Amino acid sequence: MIPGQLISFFTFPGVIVHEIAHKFFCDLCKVPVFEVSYFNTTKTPGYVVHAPVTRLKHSFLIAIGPLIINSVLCMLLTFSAFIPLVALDLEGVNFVFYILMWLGISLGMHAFPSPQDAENFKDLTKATKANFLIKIFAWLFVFVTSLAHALKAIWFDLLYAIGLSWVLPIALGLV
Amino acid sequence: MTTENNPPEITAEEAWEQYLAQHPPIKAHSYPMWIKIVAVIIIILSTYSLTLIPKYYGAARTFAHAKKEYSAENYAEAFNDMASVLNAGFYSKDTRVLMAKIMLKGFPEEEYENALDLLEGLSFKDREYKEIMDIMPARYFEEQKEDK
Repeated sequence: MIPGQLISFFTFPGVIVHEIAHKFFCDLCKVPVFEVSYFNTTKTPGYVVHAPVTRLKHSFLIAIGPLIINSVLCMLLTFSAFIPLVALDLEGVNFVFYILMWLGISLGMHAFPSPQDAENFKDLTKATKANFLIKIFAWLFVFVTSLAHALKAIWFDLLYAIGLSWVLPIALGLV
Repeated sequence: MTTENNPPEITAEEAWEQYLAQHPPIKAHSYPMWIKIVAVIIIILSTYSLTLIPKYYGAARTFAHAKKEYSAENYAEAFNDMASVLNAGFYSKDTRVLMAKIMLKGFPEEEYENALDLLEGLSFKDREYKEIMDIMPARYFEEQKEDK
């Protein structure tokens, strides 16, 4: 097993929610879904096969679905665990807090869309002859997702998840 | 002599048609039962954790307030905050160290012994150790010399 697969294995709830988010937005946009692998141990730990998307808005929503859903759930699930474990630095607290922290961080680590998700959106901007600004945006989207993907080598995904876990406590003046 | 048994070549469109024939669309907003069960378990755990939070939440807010007061050199205010945190039983390294720092900076004469008691048994990184040594009253270093 290569490190990426190993990380996916230990953070599998994030992969599952990532694929659920894609499927959820496909359903929301009325794009038929033919197959979903919520988690597997291959190099592609999860995938959604859906019908070709014809509207740019739908393609974008399907691509960024995990960024929205995984990020929000990461913030919510880590919040209650953050208070005793990080804000108060307590040890030996209820095991539920450790489970929620692991779940939340796992979800946050898989929040970023894959470069392929962004490529799908970019390809559609070409096919639909979208205007120049949207094309620039699509290029930026591909660049950001590719960069995030590359930076996983230096644990960007983990840092992003940890950063998310601090959002609510900071907003509520707990740290 | 070799024989080749290549599959007949098909176009991407034909492959897609074949795929669709084998994979009818999944009903919208339908998920496997195991996902629904896991989701329910997560909801139960989250709800349970929220019932445990109130006692931690108040302490965390007071602790954060104490840090601000300490930074602003309002040691009496910070001391009261930390006394309530520690009296509620929240003895962690961070809470003990902050209270000790407040005692050493704000009340070096009266609370010196209590500050040392709070720091006893803790291990520190170099930076943390330096921060504490920087605010240790002269009395501590004299006692160290005498011990030697």
